[in-house]
Amino acid sequence: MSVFNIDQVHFAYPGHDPSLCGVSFTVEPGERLAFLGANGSGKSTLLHLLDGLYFPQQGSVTAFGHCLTEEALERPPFGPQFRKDVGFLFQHSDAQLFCATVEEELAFAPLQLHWPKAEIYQRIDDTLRLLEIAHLRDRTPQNLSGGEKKRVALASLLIVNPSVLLLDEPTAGLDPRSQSMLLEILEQLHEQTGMTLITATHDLTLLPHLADRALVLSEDHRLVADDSAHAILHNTDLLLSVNLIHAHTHRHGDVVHRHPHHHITEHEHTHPHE
Amino acid sequence: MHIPDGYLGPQTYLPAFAVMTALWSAGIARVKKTLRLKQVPLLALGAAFSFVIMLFNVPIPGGTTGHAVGAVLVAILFGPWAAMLVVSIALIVQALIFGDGGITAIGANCLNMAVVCPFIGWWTYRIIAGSSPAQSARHWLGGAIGGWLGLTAAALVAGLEFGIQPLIAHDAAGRALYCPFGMSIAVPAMLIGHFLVFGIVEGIATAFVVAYFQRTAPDMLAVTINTARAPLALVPKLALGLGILVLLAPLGLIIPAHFHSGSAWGEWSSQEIKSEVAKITTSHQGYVPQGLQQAEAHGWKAPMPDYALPGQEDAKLPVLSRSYVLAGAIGMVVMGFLILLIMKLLARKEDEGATSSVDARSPLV
Amino acid sequence: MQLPPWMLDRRSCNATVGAPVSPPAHRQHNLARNAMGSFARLLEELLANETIAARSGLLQLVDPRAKVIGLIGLIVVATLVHQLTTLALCYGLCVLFAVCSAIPARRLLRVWPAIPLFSAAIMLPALLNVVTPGHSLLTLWQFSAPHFGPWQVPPALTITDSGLLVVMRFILRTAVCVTLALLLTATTPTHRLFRGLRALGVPKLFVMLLSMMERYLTVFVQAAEEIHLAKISRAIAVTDMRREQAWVAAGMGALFRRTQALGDAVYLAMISRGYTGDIYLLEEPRWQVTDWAFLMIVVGFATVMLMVG
Repeated sequence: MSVFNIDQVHFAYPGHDPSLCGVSFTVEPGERLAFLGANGSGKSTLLHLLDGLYFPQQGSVTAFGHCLTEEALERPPFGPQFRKDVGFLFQHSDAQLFCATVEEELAFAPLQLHWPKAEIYQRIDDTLRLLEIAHLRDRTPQNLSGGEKKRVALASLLIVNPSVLLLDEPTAGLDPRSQSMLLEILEQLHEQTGMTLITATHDLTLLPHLADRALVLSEDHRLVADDSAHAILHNTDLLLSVNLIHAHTHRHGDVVHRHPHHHITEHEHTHPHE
Repeated sequence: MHIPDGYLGPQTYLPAFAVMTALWSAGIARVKKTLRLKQVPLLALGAAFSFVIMLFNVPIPGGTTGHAVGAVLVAILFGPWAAMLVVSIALIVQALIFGDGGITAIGANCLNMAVVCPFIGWWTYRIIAGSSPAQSARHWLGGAIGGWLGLTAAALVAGLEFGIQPLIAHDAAGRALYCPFGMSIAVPAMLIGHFLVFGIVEGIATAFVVAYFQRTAPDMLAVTINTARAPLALVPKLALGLGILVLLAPLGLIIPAHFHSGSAWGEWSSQEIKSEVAKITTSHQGYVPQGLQQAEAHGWKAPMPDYALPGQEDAKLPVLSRSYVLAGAIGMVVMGFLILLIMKLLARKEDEGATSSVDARSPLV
Repeated sequence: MQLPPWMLDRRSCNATVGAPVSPPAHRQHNLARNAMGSFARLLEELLANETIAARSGLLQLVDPRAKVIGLIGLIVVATLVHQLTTLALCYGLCVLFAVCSAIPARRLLRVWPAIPLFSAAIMLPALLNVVTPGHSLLTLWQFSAPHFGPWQVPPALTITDSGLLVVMRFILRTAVCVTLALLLTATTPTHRLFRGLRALGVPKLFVMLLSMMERYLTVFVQAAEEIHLAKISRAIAVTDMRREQAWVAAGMGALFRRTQALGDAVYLAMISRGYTGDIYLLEEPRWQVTDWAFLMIVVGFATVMLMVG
C-alpha cells in the first residue's frame, strides 16, 4: 500500500491566488523524496496538504489508504494514528516549539496519545540521548541556538516513532556543523528504520543527502517533472526554467561569457576559454 | 491603572474574584464553542501582544508620552470576549511575574481593564462604526471614542472600588483599613486623570492602529468572534451591572440610616408592624395580625435573615454593611451559576434541534 | 547597471536636500529609547527571577504548589490583619525566608521605593487632618480665614496621629504583600509557578495559556525591540506628532500581524502533533516532607497573625 496518493490536487489559501494546480503523484514506503521549486512555487503548501493541515479545494490526498479529510482526522483510531505516524518538521522552530521546557516539548505528543507515564519518561531519556541534547532537558526553547532548537524539534517528532517525516527547508538558517549533523541523523534514520522522508527545499546541495527521487514545481504551481534526483540535477534546462539555478554572466577582458551555473559539491573549476 | 495589594479589602476583592470567575468560565465556553482549537494559541500570543503594546510610548499633545492599556484595540481585533481573556492573562502575568498590580487585586484589575474597558469601548466602536464600509472614517473615530470612553469607564469603576473602602472597612475608631479616600475624592481623582489624559492616550493609540489596519488590511477589522447569539449578549452587561450593584449595596443601608428612616413600607417584621399599627389606630395600641404571627413561627427560616449573618441582625452599621456585601456576592454567584446552567441546557436543546435537520447549514457554526 | 547620477556624485553625500536638518528633538528620540528601556528592563527582570530560582535555597526546595498555597494565603491574611506589630512580624518572616533562599538584599529593598509612585500622591494627603481627623501631631500651615474658596477649612493644616497610623499601616501592608509575591516568583521557575496555580483550582486551559504567553513573551519583546531599533537608526530630523503617532500605530500593527501569523503557525504545529483540544500535563512529583513543613510554618504563623491582629 502506498504511503501517499495525491490526485489532481488544486489548492489556494483562503483569499489568495492558487498555490497548487493539478498536482498528482504517489509515494511508496521507504522512499526518499524531495519537492524542488523556487520560493512561492507551492512546495511547503504540498507538505501542509500531506500532513492534513489544509485540505484541497479539488482533487484528493490519500494517506495509508484513507482519504484525508477534516472528519477523517477527527475520528479515532485513524486520526491519532495518522498524527503519530507522520511528523512535520516546520521551517521556523519558533512555531514548532511552543512548550515551556524541552522536556515538556518532547512529552507533548506522547501525552496526546495517552501513553503511560513510565513509558513517556523512558522515551524522553532515550530520545534526548539520541540527539545529544540531554543537557537541555530543563531549558526553555527560546533561549537555545538555531541548531539546538532544530534538534529539539526533531526530537519532539521522533519520540513517537513516526514512519514518515515531512521536512520543510530543514537546513534553513543553520550553521554548517548543525546542518551536517541534521543530515547525518536523517540518513541514519532512513537506513536503519526505512523511514519515508519527504523534503521541500530550493537548495539543490541537499539533494544527494536527502532524496533519491525529486518532484519539480514550477513558478506557476504545476508539477513539471517527477524523476530520479540524479536525472533532475543534470537536466539543466529544466532547472533554469523553474528558477532553481541561474544563468551566470562574467567578463574576461573583452569577452562576455554566459552559462548556467550551479555547484553541487565542492570543487575547483576552470573555464576553458580563449 | 494597576491596583496593588493593600488598597482593597477582602469585602471588595473577593466579590471581584467571584464575578471574574463567572465571566472567565463564560468566556472560555464561548471561545471554545465558536472558534474551535485555532484560537487557543492565538489567545496566548494575543496576551503577549497585549502585554508588549502596554510598553509602547504613545506621543500625545503637550509633548509628553503615555502608555495605553490597549484593551479596546484588542477587542476590535479579537472581539470583546476574547479580549477579556487575552487582557486578563496579560494582567495575571504582570501581577505574578513582574509585580505590576497586586495578587489579591487581580480580580478587581481584570474587572476594570479586561471587562469594563474592552466591552464599553467595543460597544461604542460598534455603535459608531456600525456596518459602514471598511474605509469609512467612522472606524477610526469609533476606535478613538471607544478607547477614550472605555478607559474612563474603567477608571470610574476603579474609583468606586477605592471609594467604598472607608465606608465598608474601618477599625473600631473609624479609621480606614485600606484605601483611606472616600468616594468624593477617589472617584473624581480617577475620573479626571483618565478623562483628560490617559483616556486621550488610549483613544489616540486605538484610532491610529485602526486607521493603519483600514489602510493595509481591512479584513482584520471584521469581528472575529460570533456575537450573534442574542441571549448571551446580555450576560456581560448583566454581570457587570450586578458586580457594580453588589459593591454599591451598602449604600442601601447607609442612606436610610442617615435619614433615620425605618424599614420600607410593607416590609415590616412582627415587631415593626406592631408599632406601625399603633400609629394609625385611635387607641394607639398596636397588635400583630394572626396570619403574620403564624407565618413567622412556622414558616421558612432564611439562612441570612435581613441580609445579615444569623445573630447579627441588630449589629452596628459597619458589620451590617459587610454582611450586606457578602449577601450580595453570594446571591450573585448563585444567580450566575443558575444562569449558566440554564443557558447550557438551552444551548444543548438548540444543538439537538439543529443536528436533527440534515439540510440545515447554519452560518453561525 | 546604470546608477543614477546623484549616487555617482560622491560630493552629494554630505549635502542635504531641502531645509537644514536640526538635531533630533530630545523628546522624540526618547520616545523610542524609552520604550527600548522598558523592553530591556522586562527581559532583565525575567532573567533575574530565573537566576535566583536556580540557586539552592530554602524556598527553592519547596514544591511550587505548596508555595502558591502558602504564600498567597499569607498575602490574603495580611489583608485581614490590621495591627502594625502583626504586619511588622510578617515582614520579619519574609526577610527570614528571603535570607534563607539566597535572595539578595538589593532585591528586597527595591520593594520599598517601588511601592508605586501614585501611592505617595495618595498617601501624603491621608496624613492630614482634612482627610483623617484625629489628634494633631504636627502643624503644617495656619489658615487665616475659615473658608478657602468654596471649602470650609479647619484652623490649621496638621498631620494627625490617626493619619500617621493609616498611612503607616497602608505602606507596611503593601510592602508585606509585594515582598510575599516576590518570594513566590523569585524562587520558582516561571513555568512551574504557573503549574503550581493548579493547586488553587486554576483550570488547565488557563495554565496552558499563561505558560504559552510567557514562553513567547521574549519573542514578542525582541520583535518590538527590532521595530524600535529600526526607528532609532533612521531618525534624522524632527517629525510632527501625528507622524510619530502613526509610526507607533504601525509598530503595533506590525506586531499584531506577527501575532496572527505566529498564532496560525503554532496552531498547525500543535495539530500536527496530535492536539485535539484536551490538555495533558506531565505529573508533578509528590509532595515531600519539606513541603508539608513549609505549609505548617505558614499556617501556624497565619493563625497567630489572625489571633493577634
